[in-house]
Amino acid sequence: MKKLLMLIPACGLFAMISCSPKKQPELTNQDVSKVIGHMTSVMIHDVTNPPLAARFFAYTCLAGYEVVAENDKQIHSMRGVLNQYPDIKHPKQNTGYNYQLSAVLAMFETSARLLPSGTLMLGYESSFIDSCKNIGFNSEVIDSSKSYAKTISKQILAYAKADGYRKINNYPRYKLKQTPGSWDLTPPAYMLPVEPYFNTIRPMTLDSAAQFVPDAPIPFSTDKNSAFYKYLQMSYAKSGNALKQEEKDIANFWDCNPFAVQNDGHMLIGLKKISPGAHWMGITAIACKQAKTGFSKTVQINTAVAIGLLDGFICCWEDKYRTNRIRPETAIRRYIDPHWKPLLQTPPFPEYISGHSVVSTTAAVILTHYLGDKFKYTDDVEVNYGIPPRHFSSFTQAAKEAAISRFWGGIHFMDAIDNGIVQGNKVGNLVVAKMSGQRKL
Amino acid sequence: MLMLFAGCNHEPSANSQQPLFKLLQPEQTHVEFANTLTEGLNTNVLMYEYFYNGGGVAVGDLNGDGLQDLYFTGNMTDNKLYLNQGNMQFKDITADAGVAGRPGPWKTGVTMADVNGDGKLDIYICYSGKVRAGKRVNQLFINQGNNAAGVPMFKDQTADFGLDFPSFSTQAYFFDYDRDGDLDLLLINHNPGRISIMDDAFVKEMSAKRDNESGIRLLRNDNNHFTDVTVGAGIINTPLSYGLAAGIADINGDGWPDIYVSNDYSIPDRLYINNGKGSFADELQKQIGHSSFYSMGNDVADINNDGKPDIYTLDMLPEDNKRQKLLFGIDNYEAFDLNLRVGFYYQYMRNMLQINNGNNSFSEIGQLAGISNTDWSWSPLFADYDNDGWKDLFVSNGYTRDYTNMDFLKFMGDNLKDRRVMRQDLLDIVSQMPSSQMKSYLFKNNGNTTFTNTSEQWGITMPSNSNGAAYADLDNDGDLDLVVNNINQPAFVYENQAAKQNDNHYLSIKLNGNGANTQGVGAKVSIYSGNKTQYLEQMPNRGYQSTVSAVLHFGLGKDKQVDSLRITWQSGKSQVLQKIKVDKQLVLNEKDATAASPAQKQINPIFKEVPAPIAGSESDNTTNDFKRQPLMVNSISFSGSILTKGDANGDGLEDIYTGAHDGKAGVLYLQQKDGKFISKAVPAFEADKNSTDAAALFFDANGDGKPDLYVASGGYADYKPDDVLLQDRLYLNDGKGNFNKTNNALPKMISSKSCVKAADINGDGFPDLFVGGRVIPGQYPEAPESYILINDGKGHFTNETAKYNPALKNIGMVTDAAWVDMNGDKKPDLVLAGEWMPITVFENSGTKLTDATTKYFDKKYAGWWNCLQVSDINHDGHPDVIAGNIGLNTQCKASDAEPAEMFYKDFDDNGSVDPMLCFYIQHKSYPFVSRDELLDQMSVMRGRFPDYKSYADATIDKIFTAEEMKDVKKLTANELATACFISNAQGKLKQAVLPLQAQYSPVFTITSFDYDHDGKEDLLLCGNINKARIRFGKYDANYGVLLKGDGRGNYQYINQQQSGFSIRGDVRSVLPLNNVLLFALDKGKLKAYKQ
Repeated sequence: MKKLLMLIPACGLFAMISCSPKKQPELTNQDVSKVIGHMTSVMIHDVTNPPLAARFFAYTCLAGYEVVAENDKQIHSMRGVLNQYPDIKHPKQNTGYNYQLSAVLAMFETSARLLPSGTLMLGYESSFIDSCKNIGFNSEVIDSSKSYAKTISKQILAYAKADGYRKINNYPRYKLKQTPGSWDLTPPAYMLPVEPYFNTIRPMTLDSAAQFVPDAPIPFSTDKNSAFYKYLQMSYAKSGNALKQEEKDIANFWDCNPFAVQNDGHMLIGLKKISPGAHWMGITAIACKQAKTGFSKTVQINTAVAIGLLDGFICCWEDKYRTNRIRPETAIRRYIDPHWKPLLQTPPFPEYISGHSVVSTTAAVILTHYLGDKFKYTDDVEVNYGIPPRHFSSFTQAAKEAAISRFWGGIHFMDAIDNGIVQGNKVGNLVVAKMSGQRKL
Repeated sequence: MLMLFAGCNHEPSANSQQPLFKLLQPEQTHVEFANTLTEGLNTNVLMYEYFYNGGGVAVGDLNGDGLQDLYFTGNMTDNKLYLNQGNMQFKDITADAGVAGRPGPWKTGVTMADVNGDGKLDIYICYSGKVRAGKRVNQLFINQGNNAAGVPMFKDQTADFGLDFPSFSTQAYFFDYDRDGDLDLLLINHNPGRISIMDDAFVKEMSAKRDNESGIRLLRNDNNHFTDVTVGAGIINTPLSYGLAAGIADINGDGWPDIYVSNDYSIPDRLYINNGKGSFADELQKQIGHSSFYSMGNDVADINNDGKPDIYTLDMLPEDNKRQKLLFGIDNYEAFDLNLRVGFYYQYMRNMLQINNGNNSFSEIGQLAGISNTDWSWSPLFADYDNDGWKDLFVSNGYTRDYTNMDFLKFMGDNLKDRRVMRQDLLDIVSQMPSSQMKSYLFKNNGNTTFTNTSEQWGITMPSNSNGAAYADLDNDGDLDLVVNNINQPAFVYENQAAKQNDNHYLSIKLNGNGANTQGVGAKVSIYSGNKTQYLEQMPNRGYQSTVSAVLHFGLGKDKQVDSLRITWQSGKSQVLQKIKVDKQLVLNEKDATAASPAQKQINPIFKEVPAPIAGSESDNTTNDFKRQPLMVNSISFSGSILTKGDANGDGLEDIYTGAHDGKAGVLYLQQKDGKFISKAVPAFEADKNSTDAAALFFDANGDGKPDLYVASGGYADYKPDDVLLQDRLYLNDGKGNFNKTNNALPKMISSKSCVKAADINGDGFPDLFVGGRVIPGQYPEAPESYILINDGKGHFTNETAKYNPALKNIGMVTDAAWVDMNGDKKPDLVLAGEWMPITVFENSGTKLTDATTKYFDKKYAGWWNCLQVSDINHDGHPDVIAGNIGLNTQCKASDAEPAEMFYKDFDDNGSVDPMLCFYIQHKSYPFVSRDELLDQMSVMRGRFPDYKSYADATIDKIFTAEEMKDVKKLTANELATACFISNAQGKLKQAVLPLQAQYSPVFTITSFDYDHDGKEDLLLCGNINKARIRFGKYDANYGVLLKGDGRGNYQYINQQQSGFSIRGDVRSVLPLNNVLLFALDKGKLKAYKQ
């Protein structure tokens, strides 16, 4: 009887028993982080916009997560947790694989097909496989793991394809509202607004893009006694010459603009940085490394954060394009001082609410849930851009700093930041609840 | 050798394969100057945005020996003056002459002019660059006369003349703006930094500031001392200034010199018209429809020999597909509108040729002329290089570093992460970029406002980065040689072989002006031979940063004599000479000109604008069709009315119906006995105001003798494909002009229509209808439904399309139709025209309509047809056809061998059709869509083309897999010209040639009438498309093209001054009524003209 009981449970366990008797090498949390890191550099190259980057992170992580969930009892399936999560078909006879290896490979395979320059990911995947051989994975295990990974990846990609993003090309292109107080293109490149229909794609945990509609923005007014005009004056006064050096450093630290255009006559160049989502995935990597989280847990945390980023962007973008609010730069130049320039280059989308405030708070809530609320760490994600590392006493503190930095950077009004934090909390808590198995909030 | 000096040679070339221009080697000419740039930490394009703009070259006879000398400016390297020794030999006399200028950066343009009026040519050198003010004071070198060795000596007298101030100058121009006999100075300056922020508030503020170093300045010469008169003269002087060239000429023929200023970047060009009272007004936005975006050099010259100077500006549009694809992102309509809002007007990136209509309007036809795409170009020079009597064109071009490339913009940032060392990193990248060289262009004037690219045949074979250029007869052999200033390469000296190669004649003219204007700047010379005329104006400072020869040059073709010549000096004094011998230099002295200048010819226009007899329903519609389907070829929505007439109330006077549009109801205007019109309220029309009326027809639908009104609903805008507002309406008339809609008179016809034409198709005595479908809103270019409606005699119509010919149901995007008896069997046949459709003829048997096109046309004429007229033009009993098309003034060209093609399918299977326009560029077919536009249309493409380079050479079969191309639908066009077909005795239609002006702009209306009452049909063609996609640019060159017919299918263009038509805007409907022509324009405006 006992023997039978042992044979019935998780096929992963069974599969592991049927592997070669030699001890399997183990992958660490850094192998997960490295995939994310490669994705980030490819997305920088492609100039992937922030919401879309989150979408790529989310589906990529999900592919790794699905493999882990099928093999590690501690990690529960997303079926019934995420919206319309499919019934994943498992490969018929799959033995001899290493599930950690499969999880990482599934992430490579998925991102290779999602990202425009995804073929670069295949190059990284090759190098990764070589390093696996070096640490003792034999070819059969690798092949078997890859085959399993591909099967899962394909289904996750189908899940992604059905989210409505590919239908966005059908919608009429964005038109300016042309009313006072409505968003207008911003200098220097006057780029067309990014992802005006991001709210039409299927969220992962939200019941709709409008689940957490924030309070209305302070109404636009040029009346010098109005609250909005005071906002203009605040931004005008602060993010100009009144910034302390540390505030400037913080604003630059959280700039996260994938494409700031610099103008030198006929020569234009796009200066690149990681997106806000990529920044927080980077923090996740730092935190997991520091906390020495196990492989499965790392995949889980990364997935939860990525889901939070995606859903955060979906509801934030819904608000941006519903309110179409003017940016500080446009309003200040029009009504106060035509020469004013914010410290940071205004990104090309409407103002309300602040994306960085939302997703940073969401990520912080999720990371706090998994790693604790007094988790001290040093964030060196921006070092490659000549920006020195910063120390944080908690994820929450970092998120708060990211949020206020948008005001100092001169690209947001305070209500967009405050309400962004509120929404970020709600999204974060929803993701945590879903991931923890609670179906209701 | 002797022959060269003798000047002419009548022997035709023994070897006609020899190119027209021969590039001479520096070893031979001793012109070793090269504009060498040394890039470093402080001297690079990041420090000074115009680092690669090049230098200039001036040509003039400095020592009075009859030979033209050369002065080159080097941006960083030393300037050089070469004395012409004859035989194309030159000697460097810079040091001896004392005219090197200050060494080091940064020299720009060079001008030669007799500034102090002493008969000797002086030299003025411009400075700029990111250097301190002291290094940017321009220099005026006054010619002191020759030394004992015959070398002209110069003295820097800048301060004496009041010109010692710093500026960022491009070029200086000396001309007599106030006609007081001395030369004033126009200084074209530029801002050394790029101002990228161009929003309303900023532009407004900057526009109110003065900037004497960056802004353009006008300085008046008062006894050899220059005084700034910029502001009083109305010259705009602000920091928003990127002046690269000025074209000075008497553009409007009133005797006063005007100025065209080319401004780089988004700053608009200026057309300064001299008011004769000391000041100028910028009339560019009144007279010109659109200009170059990055206007570089320009040239003002009469290129079509009609005696009126035309204007040509250069820009940066490449000729080849690959470079275009590397350059373009996505059409950004918002940024374009921002430019309009701040007053920067319509600007598009291509060379523009503005043909002077003589009535304060210009028609831009650079594309038709074949000179619109020459890549990053600097210096245009119109001159008769082959001496055939027509001015040809030289264009210098080149970009030293290819950083305009979108891959550079998007991907160079990969290497620039650490912002602390960015400047050095960026410099490293820039310096590693390959320096790409291009070949300059030579175009031969075909004599009909078009040019042929003869670069290779005429001797341009060396790639280079060429900027300033000048022409002059350096060897005095009767043809114009060319000198070109190159970056990092010796200058080019091209010797013109025309005098040796062909037997064309020439006449060159040296001017001796009175007073201080010794070179006769501003003098105008017209020559006449037979019925030919040519016109030149003396203004040596032209092109880009350069000065050409002050000796005027006419090529005469085979004419052995010039019948007469008139010169009108700037002072207004005039002289006429008769029977001038050719192949020599003629000297004209102003003191011999004693006659007054001829009065400007008073032309009595045939038509004059009159107030429109009815008010339009103006609308400010901002619909942009490209927001709905970004890949449509041309916009379809039109914010104006259609017009139709009929006697609605039976009082014998024709009434007018203006169609509904933009939420404004259709209106019935009843003509009164006094000729005025009064609108009559018709509730039924009000009820249908949200439909867009595409066509309307008064006809007796129900046989009660009263004209009813059929309105075909159309439009694009936001209509859904199945919108009930697309249903046509039949309003029955009670005879008094009371119209009521009958709801069941028509079958369901939910289709966006274009036309409705009546005929008794089945011969039963009742009028039937063909109604053409134009488009499925949101699903261009899928074929909409067209209809054959058969009348039961009582005003009830049945859809019998399938019965007559099922192919008619979705025949295509029909724009117009006509019922005409084509085969003489007394039954009305159906002729159709449409977008991407061949002109099609269906013969009517009474029960069937059969496609008989091949009986009438020798081949398929598929085009982007807009309108059709079928009538017997030559009264031979056979119908002839005139059809309006997009015309030939477009980027897209099509022919039998190289058709334009439209591939369409829902390639990415996401629910919307993807239209892919392809046409030939340099003999290969490429998709028109840019990479970003493709990715915006189909996100799946993002993985296929990760960068611009991977897309740059892609043909349609490289974009889509074979699997994806399965079941793709295809439309073709092989004829884009507006066309006239005259039927011969057998009834076969043969294409007749219309005057070129018919191709200036898309033709949407054809009005035939006999304006001169000579019994022969004349035509008025109107059209234009204001809301075009950005990369095509707005089509606005048609102001009302009047063609006088000879009754046999030949037409003569009546120019705008003579016809009187000056219609600005889009015309979609023209209604002749009571000797008045009523025009329906966009935005609901109406205009009227009367003879």
